[in-house]
Amino acid sequence: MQRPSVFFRPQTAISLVAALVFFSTLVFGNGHATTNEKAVVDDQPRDASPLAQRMGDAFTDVNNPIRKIFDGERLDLWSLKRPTVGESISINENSQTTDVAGRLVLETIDRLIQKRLTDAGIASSAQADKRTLIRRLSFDLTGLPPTPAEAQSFVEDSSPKAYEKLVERLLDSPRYGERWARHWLDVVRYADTEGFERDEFRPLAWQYRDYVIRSFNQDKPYDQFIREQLAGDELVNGPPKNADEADKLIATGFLRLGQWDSTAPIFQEEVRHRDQQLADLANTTGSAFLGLTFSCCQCHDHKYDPLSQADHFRLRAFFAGVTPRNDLVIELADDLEEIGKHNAEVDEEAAPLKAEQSKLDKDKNEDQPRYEELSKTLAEIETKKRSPRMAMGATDSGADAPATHVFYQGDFSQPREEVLPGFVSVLDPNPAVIEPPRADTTGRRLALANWIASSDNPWTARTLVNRVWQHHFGVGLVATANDFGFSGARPTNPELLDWLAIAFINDGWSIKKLHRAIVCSATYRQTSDAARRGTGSHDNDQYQEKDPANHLLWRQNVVRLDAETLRDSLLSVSGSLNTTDSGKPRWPHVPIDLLHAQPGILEAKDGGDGGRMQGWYEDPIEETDVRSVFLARKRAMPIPFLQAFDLPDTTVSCARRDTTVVAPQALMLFNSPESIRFALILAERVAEEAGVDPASRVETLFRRALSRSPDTKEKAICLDLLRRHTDQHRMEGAENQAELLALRDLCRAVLNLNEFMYID
Amino acid sequence: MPLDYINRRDFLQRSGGGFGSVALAALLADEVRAASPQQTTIDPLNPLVERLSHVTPKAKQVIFLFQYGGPSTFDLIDYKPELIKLNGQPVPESFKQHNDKVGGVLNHCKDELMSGPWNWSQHGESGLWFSDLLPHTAQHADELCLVRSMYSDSSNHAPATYLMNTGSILSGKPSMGSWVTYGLGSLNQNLPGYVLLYKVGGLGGSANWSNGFLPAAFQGTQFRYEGAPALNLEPPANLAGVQRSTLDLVQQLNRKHAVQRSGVLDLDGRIASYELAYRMQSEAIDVGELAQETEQTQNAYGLNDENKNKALFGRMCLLSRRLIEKGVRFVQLYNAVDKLGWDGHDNNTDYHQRNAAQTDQPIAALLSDLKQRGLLDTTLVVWAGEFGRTPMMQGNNGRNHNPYGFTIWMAGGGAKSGQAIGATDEIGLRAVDQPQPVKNLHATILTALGLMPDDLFFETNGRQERLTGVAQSWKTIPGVLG
Repeated sequence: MQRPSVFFRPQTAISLVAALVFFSTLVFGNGHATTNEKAVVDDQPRDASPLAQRMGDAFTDVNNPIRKIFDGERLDLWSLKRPTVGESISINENSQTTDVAGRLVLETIDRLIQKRLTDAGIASSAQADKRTLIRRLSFDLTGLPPTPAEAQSFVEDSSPKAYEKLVERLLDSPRYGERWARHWLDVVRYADTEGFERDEFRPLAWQYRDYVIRSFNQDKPYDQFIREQLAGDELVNGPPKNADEADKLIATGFLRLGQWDSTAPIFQEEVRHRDQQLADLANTTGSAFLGLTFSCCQCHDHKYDPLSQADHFRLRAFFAGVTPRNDLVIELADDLEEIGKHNAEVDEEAAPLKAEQSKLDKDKNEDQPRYEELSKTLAEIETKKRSPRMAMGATDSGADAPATHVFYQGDFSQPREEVLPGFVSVLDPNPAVIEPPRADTTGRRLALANWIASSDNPWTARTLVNRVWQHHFGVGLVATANDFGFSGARPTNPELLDWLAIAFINDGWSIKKLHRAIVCSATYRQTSDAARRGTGSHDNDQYQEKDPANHLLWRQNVVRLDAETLRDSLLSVSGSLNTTDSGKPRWPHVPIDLLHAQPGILEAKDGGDGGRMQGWYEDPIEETDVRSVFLARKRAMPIPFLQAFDLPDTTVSCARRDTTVVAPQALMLFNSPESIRFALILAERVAEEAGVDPASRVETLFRRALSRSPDTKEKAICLDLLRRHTDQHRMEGAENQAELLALRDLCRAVLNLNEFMYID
Repeated sequence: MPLDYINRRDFLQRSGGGFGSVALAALLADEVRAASPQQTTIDPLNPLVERLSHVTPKAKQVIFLFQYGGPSTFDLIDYKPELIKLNGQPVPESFKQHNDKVGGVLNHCKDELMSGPWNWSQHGESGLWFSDLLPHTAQHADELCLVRSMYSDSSNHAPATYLMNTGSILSGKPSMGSWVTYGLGSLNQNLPGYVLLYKVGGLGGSANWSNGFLPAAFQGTQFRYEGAPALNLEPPANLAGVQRSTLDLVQQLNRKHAVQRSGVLDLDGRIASYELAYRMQSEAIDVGELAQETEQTQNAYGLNDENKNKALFGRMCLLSRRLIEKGVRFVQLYNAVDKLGWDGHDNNTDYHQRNAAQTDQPIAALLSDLKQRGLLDTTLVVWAGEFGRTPMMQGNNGRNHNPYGFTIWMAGGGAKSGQAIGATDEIGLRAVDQPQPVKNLHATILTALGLMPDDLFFETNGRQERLTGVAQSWKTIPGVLG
């Protein structure tokens, strides 16, 4: 048994209690919450029945159903054990994990990495140069390259805290939330349309996207973020009293992000479709928050993990009462009152006219002109009314929810025994204890949210810190971020994963503190150069052989830009980025014959979609030069430019983007009208800044696109290209424009460089 | 050394603390070995390189003629004399008492059977029946292998279209063309391995040719039926003269960059991908040069027909032959030229006359052309929609979707020709003799290509995913592959 310690700060008695409970009894998951939401959740176990009557976890109780289904080997799943702290960490240091500067924190990260490297006989790499560091940090935290001025000022800042200052500036930037929201939107399979045959636009979905951006920018505690998405409606009573309450309602958009086939009822396929919806919600919840694969135990018990088929349906049962709503009023209570008053005044204004009209007979000749006049006036008055803002989200249909049955072999037409909402049986096989917060809702999702967003839950904090780690190193400590089961990867550094998880919880589930700890570590700041030029003393071939995939992190990883970051970088370096930071999605131009891939779009074009918004609603080009997170994500028609660079499907949770390298990407980035346009805008910008001197043009271009000056050889071949291409364009008749077009060609080349596409 | 799959991910998974536990290894042993020794190995620098099949193949390439909207196959190739006899009669009670698993198709129909207005005749030595909607296809009677007992799991376009293309009624799974190119690579490295031809795609959009969770190299690439054959093959015209020179600078700087980062495989891969893209430009443009074909060939495909829609579909059929000739592994065509396709809810006769007129001659020409060039033996041609249509009348002259029983056909590529397998009931409503789920069709196609359906898998999200679903849950359609 490990020593109890350490990470539970004395002032947070709850954590300490939890730790003691864990270390002494291995009893998990009694579902009580630990932080926040105190108005709704108390700190005491709510189970009124004596503990003895409840079944225990599979470790201690032979009657636990999981123990009965599987043999004991299933219980060896690493992620099932609560995070523990290795003995190599001393109490004193780690009692200060919340140090804002992150110093002690980073020492711990580095020490845990170093321990494994030492065991393997590998030394870590030197710190990357400052130009590399600012590019890496800017892309990682904001998804955008540094401007030439930002890069220069950082490189020239010789103060000891220059790096930490940069970290703070980037974490404070609104661009941070846009970048990290995009990561979360992958996990929750966000899209702006319904999918299937009609693939209708969801006019309010973007509010959820903006909510996620706000949440990251506010550094909303992750446990709160979980509760809001799963049960925000159960946390708010009546119209929202402030922006935070409105956000809780918007957050329930999470429950609506799956696909929806509005044609299912036409063919009486509602029952099957409801089965799909609930399965999707359960599977996505499991993947996103727990790293568990509930899709694998829908038809039978899990093939690898200690999850039963009943567990899948117990999880589903939490969602049985979910009712989709597009009319969640998010106008604040005060404003709502004002709107009510205003509308009452409008009604008052209309009342005498209405009364007069009611006495007239519209079919009588003498009454008709006045009647019509009144109708017109009344219609005008009516337009003065204001309607409250609404959100797309969900509530329960009432205090009761339909029964949930296990389906024989997963077949919805063969329901078997009924199950009640319950957590993962291996830890707690009993029905969940549920206390509805109000009379009009079941309280089921709140109970689930509290169980997930608990420091007792062995998966929640680990999955999150692993996701964050993944986006800082290209790969997580667990390579399969949505699968912490037997078929997933094992943690490459379990002590570090656990240490991060515990520190994260102790730091109030703060994601920004987690970033700070990771990016301030020496591990993060290492060079990615496998050849290790400049350090001299290492035998890189030997390391490359010992740990070719860099599991142990003896260097940083070279990472390819993802689809959105590539496009955003093109916008950014060419100076054409529209700074819109919220609101309705924008629809870029897509070639018409590609739109024809989806017949539903054609139907909309002919006005045949009955107002269902099945179409593609192209915006003027200037309005589409926004960051890619603000572009419309239509399920039946992903934006081709983004899709070429491994945009994930929006059907299931995406744990990690593919980064494939295929020829169509080259065609897209080298030849597409989008790319050529960016190259030309960049050329104009460079010409404007650098003047007519070719050498200073090359210099300016490199600084904008690559945050560095060209070396002598690069400068020479670039100048050579400018000369040759100027001649060529002149020859082709572009007399006045020849130099600009040559510069465009050079810009086009630079935007296609590996150095532009990959982060060192 | 080829990496197991692409871009380090599985590589990391496997070689790092991956399957460490002895207990787990024991746990997996039976299932994994029973299914397959290992996942298909992909060289990330050359993902389309030709790979060996699991067993000796009968077919090397596939042309999938997707029939969007749900063709009424008993108006085309499934002769139902009883239906003709019962025209105008109520549906016999025995057909109403049925516990159909898929949603209520019958509710939207009248209680009245409707036969089509077409004449039927037998063709070839096989004596297969064709309605006079398909006079040209009928001439290939002895080359067709009909399966008259298909059924689908949804009566709704998008789910049923997804099912026919990807094996799942939900979007997001890899399509058959992606699975096949993942399993076998392609025969030509300068063209995509999986090509789409459509004017109008299938409902549900590009998810129907998605690579799903498979690497992007296996995604379907659209070839255009007119103009430049593929999007972004060439830069805008005024950049043509500087194309190679610009590319040379990219590659020169990229090589310099890569040398400083030895061991990062993707950087070399990306350099190679730009050269491949450059080669694709000329090769793909060449495929699109239909003017290279004789006038006789062009006419046979209907390229000069006054029916513009026939001419358009003819271009797609001719392009598909040229792509097959070039070694593209999997070509899929969508028949529709508008959003209607075969979906004759309101006027079945009209829809079927129109679609048959557009597609019959070009498809027949494709079969003749492939045969004449010796390509039919190794090219499996598949004709299938997402479902069929009801024998009951909808509206005044319409038919509703019918997932319970419909016909598809195959030709070439080892399919035993001149025969019909399975049957629907007397009125064409439900498959009754050897009913075949869509996964059996997929299994049959994979098997023809020498791929063992259970051995063609990809591990994702904790599962081994396959086109044909759970291992051993499928059967090849008996009699197709002889």
